[in-house]
Amino acid sequence: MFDPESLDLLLRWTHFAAGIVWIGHNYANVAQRPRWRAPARAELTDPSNPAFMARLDREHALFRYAAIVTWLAGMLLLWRRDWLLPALTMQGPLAGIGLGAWIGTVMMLNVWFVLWPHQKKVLGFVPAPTEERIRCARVTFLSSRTNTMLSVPLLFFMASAHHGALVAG
Amino acid sequence: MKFTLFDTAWSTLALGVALTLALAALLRMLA
Repeated sequence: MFDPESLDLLLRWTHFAAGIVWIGHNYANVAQRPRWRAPARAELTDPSNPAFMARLDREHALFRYAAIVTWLAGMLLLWRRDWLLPALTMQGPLAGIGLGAWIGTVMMLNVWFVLWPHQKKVLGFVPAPTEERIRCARVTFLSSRTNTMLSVPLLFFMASAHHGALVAG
Repeated sequence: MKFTLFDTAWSTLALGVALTLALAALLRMLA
């Protein structure tokens, strides 16, 4: 079962599945709330406000951890073929997947170091004045949309790695 | 608050496609 080929398949499957959980969340968010709307003060300060409760209900650590699993599985896929360094330094035919890996790394860091610290203030997990929480809601929106946008080239470069036409070997 | 291209679903998608084409062209040029 765990010969090298099976490990490759397992990592690939994990990479796709975790990636769908993570980025699917971004796409669902775009479909459900396509336009930016600043939260009203009551939405953030009144715990019984339905909009605030809905906001809390949408918070799942699953998406953040799916980002790590996706990233890790992708890096392991490259590493176990000895492709990690040439991909990340974007050499020859590995330049496409390397660029995808860099975009994915930026996205993962964006989730953990931009979106999440601000989201903690929006939801009141970290105390902050209401004005600051409204400002943070805008930052999380832009951070999330940045990842949605970055997923477009990421998927393109990931797919291009198996269609070889982008950069000749 | 200032409107940005991220403020609608379609402009976000269009930005993503534009970025993809730009990066792909850059990669081809540099490779």
